[in-house]
Amino acid sequence: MINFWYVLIGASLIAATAGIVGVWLVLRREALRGDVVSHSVLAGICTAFLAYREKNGWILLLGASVSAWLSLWTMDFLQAHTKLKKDTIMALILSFFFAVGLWILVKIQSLNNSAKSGLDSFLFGKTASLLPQDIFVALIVFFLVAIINLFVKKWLFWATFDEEYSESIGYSVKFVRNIVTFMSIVSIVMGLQAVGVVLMSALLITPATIALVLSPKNLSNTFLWSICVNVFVVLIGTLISYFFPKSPTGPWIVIFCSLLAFGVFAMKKNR
Amino acid sequence: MQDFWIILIVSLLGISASLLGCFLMFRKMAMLTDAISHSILPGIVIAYLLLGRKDNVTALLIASIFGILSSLLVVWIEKKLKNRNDAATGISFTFLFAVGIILVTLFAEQADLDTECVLFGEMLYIPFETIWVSTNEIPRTLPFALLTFILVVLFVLFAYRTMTIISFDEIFAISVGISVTTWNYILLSLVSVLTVASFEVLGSVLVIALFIFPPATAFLLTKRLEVMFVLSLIFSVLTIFLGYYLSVWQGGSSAASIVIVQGIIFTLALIYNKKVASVNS
Repeated sequence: MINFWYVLIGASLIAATAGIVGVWLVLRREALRGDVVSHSVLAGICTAFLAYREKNGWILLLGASVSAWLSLWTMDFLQAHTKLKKDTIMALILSFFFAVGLWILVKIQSLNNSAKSGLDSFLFGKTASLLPQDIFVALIVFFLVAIINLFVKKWLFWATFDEEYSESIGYSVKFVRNIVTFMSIVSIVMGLQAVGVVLMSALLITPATIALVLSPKNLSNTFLWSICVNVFVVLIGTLISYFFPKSPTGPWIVIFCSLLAFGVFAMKKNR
Repeated sequence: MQDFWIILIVSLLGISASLLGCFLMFRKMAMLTDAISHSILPGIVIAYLLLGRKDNVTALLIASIFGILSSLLVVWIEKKLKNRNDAATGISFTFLFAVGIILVTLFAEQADLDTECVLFGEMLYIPFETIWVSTNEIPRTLPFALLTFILVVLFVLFAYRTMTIISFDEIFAISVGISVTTWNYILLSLVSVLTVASFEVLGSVLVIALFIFPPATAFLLTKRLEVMFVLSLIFSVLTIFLGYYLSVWQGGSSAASIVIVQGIIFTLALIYNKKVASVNS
């Protein structure tokens, strides 16, 4: 039973972190960038595992962050140095990094190592596999993101909606970009254990979009809604998945959250 | 003979994908392949549960409908959200993919699918699942690959001019009476059908690479449109060939190996592109 509470607390923290970051990604129209990063993280996790041959949370997180950063850097590089369009670049990076991840994953599966079984939970998520030390990491990351968010909310707001004004009052747009990048990397890396690499972007985008529909004017309320919706759906999804032990957690969370979103959209009048 | 069948079928799919990929790239619709390749999963499972077989044109159509369904969903969400196209896309395809994964895990035994083959595809099984056509034993996937290949080639031949006009000057296209929406849906349907046909072979995520890598590589090397189409065909077949033999030699997933080779060739093209740019300037 203690394990059950660990899972609930850990999942809520992960959801709350994703809820905060998701609002920025949707506002900045970077939702699909989040999808690219979450797919690319698999490569880092698998490389880290291959190097250390054990499922140590911190090392996997380090690997994941490195590959997330690398994918973002490659995207920016291609955008700056070629005439390829943004969406083409995203499709290239997403499929290439994911291919590298899958390639290494197949290699790992051919090894004789008992720890490898846990890696599958990164694909589609398994909140039940959260351990007490993961909760500790989730707690730190949540507070980190929440505090950064409190301090830089104003900067982020202006850098998102009015770049020129933002620069003129001394908030560097580039600096703000880096902050958003940092926050999205940590929240994606944390969220993987709940929903997995393939569906991680839903945890960021869908609740944030619901929140923006419910509270389009007041940003503080948007954050509050986003966090609440996200925690709610992650908990319900985790509960549902207890009844279907064969299925991973991630899809249940995403289905429930999407249905909620469709309900909210349906009640909203067309503009 | 087994290698021959695999390379032939994947190349047929790859050529079709890179032809459509050129248009998708010009139309800034590259991430649409990502959305469609995820969205068709429930369609594939449902078709299989209803019909009990995968080798069936009806199954292909049922599954493809989900690709179009997802884009209708995107349009609906977009209306509610001040044109936030990226968020709308993200919401609709993750939903359909999640439904697909749940169906796969719940009906795994009946559907002969598992999450592994959703991600990796089953390229190596191509030569082993055969059907008999009169007296010849051919792989089950060959007729589909051939059918979609013919469809796509016909589309490119007949719609080449129209599609280029739409891609490069949409306003002009509308003013001369071309229905952009209709052509978008035709393109979308073809992408869906092709994605379903390639799904079994490459898995849901790596299909994207088949569409986008060859055109993007060709784009770096030439400015002329016809040359770009031809180059992307060549890159498509070349990378499939090299990637397949890389996986034979080194082991690992064949689908992933193909995409890794595509990434390497793309990088080489990028270096060449930079060299030429620095010489010219």
